[in-house]
Amino acid sequence: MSATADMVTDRLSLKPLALPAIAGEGPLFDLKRAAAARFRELGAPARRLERWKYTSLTPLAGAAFTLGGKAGAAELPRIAGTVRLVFVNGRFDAARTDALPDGVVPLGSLGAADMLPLLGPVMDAPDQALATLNTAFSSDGYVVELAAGAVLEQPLHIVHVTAAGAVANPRNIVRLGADARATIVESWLGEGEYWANPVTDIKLATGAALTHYKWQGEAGPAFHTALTSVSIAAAARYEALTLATGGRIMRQEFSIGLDGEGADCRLAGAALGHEAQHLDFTVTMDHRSPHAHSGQAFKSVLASGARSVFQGLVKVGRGAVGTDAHQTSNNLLLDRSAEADAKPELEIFADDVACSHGATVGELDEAKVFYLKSRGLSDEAARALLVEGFVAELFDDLADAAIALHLREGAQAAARRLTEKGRREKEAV
Amino acid sequence: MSDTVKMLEIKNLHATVDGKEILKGFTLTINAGEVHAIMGPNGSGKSTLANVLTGRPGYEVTAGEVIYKGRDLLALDVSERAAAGIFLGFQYPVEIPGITSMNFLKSAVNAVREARGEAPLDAVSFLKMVREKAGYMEMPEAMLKRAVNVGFSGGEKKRHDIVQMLMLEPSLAILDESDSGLDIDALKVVAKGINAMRGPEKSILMITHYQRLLDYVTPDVVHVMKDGRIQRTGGKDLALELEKSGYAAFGEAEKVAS
Repeated sequence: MSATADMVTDRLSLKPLALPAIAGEGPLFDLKRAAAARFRELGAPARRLERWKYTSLTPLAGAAFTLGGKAGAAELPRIAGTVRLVFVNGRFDAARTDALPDGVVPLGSLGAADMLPLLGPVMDAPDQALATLNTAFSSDGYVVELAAGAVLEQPLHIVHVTAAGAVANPRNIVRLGADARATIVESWLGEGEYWANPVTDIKLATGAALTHYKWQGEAGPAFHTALTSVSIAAAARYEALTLATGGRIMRQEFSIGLDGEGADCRLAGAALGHEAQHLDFTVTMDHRSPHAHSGQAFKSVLASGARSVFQGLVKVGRGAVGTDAHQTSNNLLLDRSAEADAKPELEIFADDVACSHGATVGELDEAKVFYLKSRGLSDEAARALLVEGFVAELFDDLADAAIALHLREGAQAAARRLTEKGRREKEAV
Repeated sequence: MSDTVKMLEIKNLHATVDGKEILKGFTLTINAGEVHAIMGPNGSGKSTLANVLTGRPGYEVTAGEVIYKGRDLLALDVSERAAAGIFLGFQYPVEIPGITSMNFLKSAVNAVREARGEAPLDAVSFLKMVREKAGYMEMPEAMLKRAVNVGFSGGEKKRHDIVQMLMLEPSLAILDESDSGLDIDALKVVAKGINAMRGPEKSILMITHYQRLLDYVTPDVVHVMKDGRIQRTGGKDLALELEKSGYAAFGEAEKVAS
């Protein structure tokens, strides 16, 4: 493929590699061109890379996308008591966005000089090449920048919609000053085959607290590859809950740095998949400071050929004494064709630490199914309710009832899909 | 009596678990409006009877028939039996993490209503009904906002089961050791719930090891079960007699439960 062929198109594909041209003058566009050049060298992550061992991007590589484009007028979710921001194919949609509070702007509204430090530097690591690609083609996203002590009164609800055939590369930036507080909920949806490739870059200053919910409810044939990178200063807290129900391939990676004494990170996630869905949660929890706490609680429920991956790496650096790090992976397989891979890992270079990990794989408890059926629920309804209960444990203690309901409804709909499929399979045998 | 309506007829029922015969020609008729008690030692087949009647997987009926309100009960699926008005009170109610009792009760009540061709209860009517039934069973509403049976005491689980019975308004309640593990106060509350279900069109089959529940829920008929069938049938005095003499007088020597 010649360089001139890429210059005239918005087409983006991995195989054969075709990247849209990046026009524009100045350091910002130089950075983007450098990122595109680096991506050409790296290519998409392959399974020979340790962190990509369980996830193949081959189906993604076989598809072609275009940058930008229009989205259909899908009905967008609304969560009571939140401020909604809408992004279509990765670009800010002012018309469907509420009035924004102080400290919240779309990235695309910033000038090149302000955007440059937020996008750079170019990420170099082969296993994060998709983030490098994001740097090359991102032009929008949400920016939340709060001064010391500031509190975002209403949660932000970020709705990302992507249209068939599009690739979206949103870059989201969160900077919370000392003791600042915010809550963000993301909903991801779309239609047909498309690719959402977001990078979210979060820095929390001393004592700050961010609560971050995400419902990845992409369309069935879609691809979703996300990197959430977080640096947590002393006594700051990052709490995330991710519900993944959509997409053919999802890779949600968290790269967390516990960068100050007493930093605290709680990650929870649930993946519900059926048929060809492949849902991957990969976490690097880097304890770089003493007396930091981290928890990871991930669950999956899988039916009829679906697969989940959980890779949880906890690193405890020299000097990170008093580290408290725990991880669990609990998986429910609704039939024999589903597969869950759980790989908790520990790398410990400090004394006086408390680290634990555990993984379980099981089936639905038939005694519970009988109990529910004896109360009149159909076999399908009983199984769907048990699946919902299995993952809803993660939502039980949410402070915000409207957000909890939003996530619960997402889990409920997925639980019904899974159990309906599971039943059909059973009858077919 | 000429105008009696048969609720349940069990004729020569044989059933096996893991190839072992547990019910060996069990025969019983319960008329509408009657409360029956089946008493018997461990291993006599009491719980197997309850499980076969409600359709729990793992039990195979090898002979006999069960007619419920004129229908072949054994041809119905577990959920269909519930919709048709059969309720099982569990010896060990099951915990369901992640699902609140409220949500569970609503799903159950509306599933049964739908199967009976009735419209689902709206939120207000449902809440009113829950409050009334839970209040009657002395269960605080806050408990119903917790996950089903999770962290409940033995007595709370049994009371919760009876709340479900009162909500579902069955025609035939089969109560498998609903008295086990209860202190005297909890026993009285459970008995109050069972008595509330009595009526001319309702029947109750209480399965119990001990006589004490029968002090609070007076049965019309008492059966002694042993070795997979009924050995003797009498009035409520039979329970008192058993309390004195034990089960050894009936049939062969007591067997250990499997």
